[in-house]
This record gives sequence, C-alpha cells and structure tokens, in this order.
Amino acid sequence: MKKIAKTINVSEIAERENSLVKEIFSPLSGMKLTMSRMVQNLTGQVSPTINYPEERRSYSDRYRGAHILTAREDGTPRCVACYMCATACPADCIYIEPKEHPDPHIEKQAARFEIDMLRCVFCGFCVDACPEEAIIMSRETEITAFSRGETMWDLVRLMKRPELKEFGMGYRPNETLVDSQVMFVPTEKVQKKMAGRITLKEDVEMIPNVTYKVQDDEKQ
Amino acid sequence: MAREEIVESSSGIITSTVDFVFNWARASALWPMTFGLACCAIEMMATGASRFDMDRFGAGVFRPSPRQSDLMIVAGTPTLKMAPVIKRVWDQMPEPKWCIAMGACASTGGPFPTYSTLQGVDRIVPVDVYIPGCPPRPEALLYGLMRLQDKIMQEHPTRFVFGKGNISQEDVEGETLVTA
Repeated sequence: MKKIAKTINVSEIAERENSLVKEIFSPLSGMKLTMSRMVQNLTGQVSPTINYPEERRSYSDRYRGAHILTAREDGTPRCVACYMCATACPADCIYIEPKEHPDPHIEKQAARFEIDMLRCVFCGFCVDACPEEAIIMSRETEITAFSRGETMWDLVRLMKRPELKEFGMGYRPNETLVDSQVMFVPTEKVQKKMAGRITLKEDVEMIPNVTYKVQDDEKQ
Repeated sequence: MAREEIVESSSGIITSTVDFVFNWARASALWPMTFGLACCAIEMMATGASRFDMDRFGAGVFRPSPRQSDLMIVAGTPTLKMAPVIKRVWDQMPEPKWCIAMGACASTGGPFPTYSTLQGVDRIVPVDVYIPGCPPRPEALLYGLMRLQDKIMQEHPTRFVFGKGNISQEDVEGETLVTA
C-alpha cells in the first residue's frame, strides 16, 4: 500500500500572514519599545548615566585611593620609618629615608617618604602592614599628571591633603584610632574649570562621610 | 628676535581666535583608538558604556583603525613583544594626535619591573596625560580626558602658519600651560 505523505500548502499561510499591513506595523511595534525608552531617557526617568564632573558616585568606606600620611598631635608624621610598607609593596613604589626623632620614646621618623603614584597599584598592603596607622588611604582618584615627575608625592604632599574634603577617607583598618587621631580642617574648595566649559558646582552633593567631627556629633 | 617677542607677536586677535576654533574642534571630537592591552581595557569599555558615557565629551567614537583616530589610550601592560606594534600604530595615526597612558603598567610598568615588560609606554611614544590607578576607575579616565582637553585648549596650532621665528610648541607651552 502506497503511503501518501500529508502535505501542507505553506505558501497560502505565508501569504495570509505576510500581509502588507503586518509588514508595516510589525517594525513599528518593535520601535514602540525603543521610542518609549528614548523618551524615558530624554526626560531623565531611567537614565543610568552619572554626569561625572558634576555628579559623583559615592564610593565605599573601604575604597583604596591615594594615600594619606597621618600626623601626630604636634604635626609631625606618625611614620617611624620601619620600612614595613616599602617591604610589603608589590610595586616597589615607596621610598623611605629615616632620621632621628627628638622624642627619645620614638625611635625614628621619616626624613623622606615618597610614593610614586603612577607605579602604585592601590592594593592597600602598605596600610595593612603599617603598625602605627601612619599610612591610610583616601577616596581620591583624580591624580592625573602631565609628566611622571608630578606623581612623585613626597612627605609634605602626602600629609597635606586639601582634596580630602571633596573625596573623604578610604581604607583604614583601625577606624576608631585613626578617626580620633586624624584631624583635617576643611578648606575652601577651589573652583575647578575644565575644558573651558565644565565647572564644578558649589552646591553639588558630594561623597558623604567626609568630616569626622560631624560624624561624632551625629553619634551623640 | 627674542623669545618673548615671538610669543607676543603670534598671539594676535586673529591667530588666537583661529587657535581657539581649531582647539575647540579638536578637543570636542577626540576619537580614541581601541588599544586595550590588559585589564585597563575593561575599565575603558566601562567608560564608553552608558553609566559613564564618554560620548558626553565627544570622545566615545572608538575607532578600530589608527588612520581614523587622534587619541591613543594605551590601556594595559605594554610587553616588549607588543612595543613595536604600539609604535607602529602610533606612527600610523595622522596628526594631530595625543596619547593617554592609562594605568600603572602603561605609565611606568607598574608591578612588573621585569625583563618582559616595557617600563612605561613613554619610552616609545610621547605621552600627554598619565592616569594612575590599577586599573583607574572610569571617573579617573574621564578626568584624564578632561585634563587632556585642557591641554589641547592651550595649544597654538596657527603659530606655525602665521607665527614668526622658529619656536617650538613645547617652549611656549612651558610658559602658558597651567598645571594642577
């Protein structure tokens, strides 16, 4: 007995489905989603963009940015030139020269302390290695330079950090000790002008948790 | 002619206006070249994506060809094997061109002071802006880009057409370029 295969005439169905109206409206229905997204973007409803120089993303409290050398109460660096950080540094970017400290209870202090910010990989090992909480990290990321010499930060540059008000402190393991010791005075913010058109607004909402005195008041 | 006179003579109102127009056009449409060598390239891609959106600065048109681009972002570890390629690609880019060394490796060699790593891409190409970080955040790259735009706005492209005397751009920039 001969088997007859069941056949379906496809072209009929295809013609029925590929009508002119459908050909016109099916791309439009796809465009509806695109257009609604575009409208939402333009009106700022769903825009994921951070308008960077004016708006900033708030970083974590453990963010590892540029280093800070903390000071004692008399203003000298807390660093005792023990070379722990320079030994721990995987990039060999820390250079220290020690000298005698006038206080007999403190063995040494750093005469020179230089960090090559370009070679630094911001791993935070120096902060972990430091026994004196002398080196901690800020949340500063904007350390761009036009030459390699500009990024050799010396002792003064590492201790004086006018940018701290803007960026805040980052990774510091012993927070209570550091925050009780580190006092930074908020300074007047410099009006930055960039590329002839971008200006930092004065009243823009910056990263929170910057001044520690305010934080202490909040706790009480 | 004294150096001061040359600087002064080529800063007339016509040349400075033309300078501004040229600089504005150049700074507002930097076409970077896709030169990702290592992990910094991931951050470079993130900078081009919608969260940070490099297109807001006119620099989001990543070109795959050096002939069409005028900004080389060296993002990643330049090995000695890659160094001739970087140099060749840089030479293929048409003037005016700029270079950003992004990250620790491209700037200084970073954590790789080894026999196989080029200790800074500025040994083979002139670098305009160095960005520290390992890798730098997209914000840092955008900041570097803005600094580069600042630098471009300080240039004098018409000085070599209308200017008198033989004075290099570096000489002039050393005087006028505002750092920090």
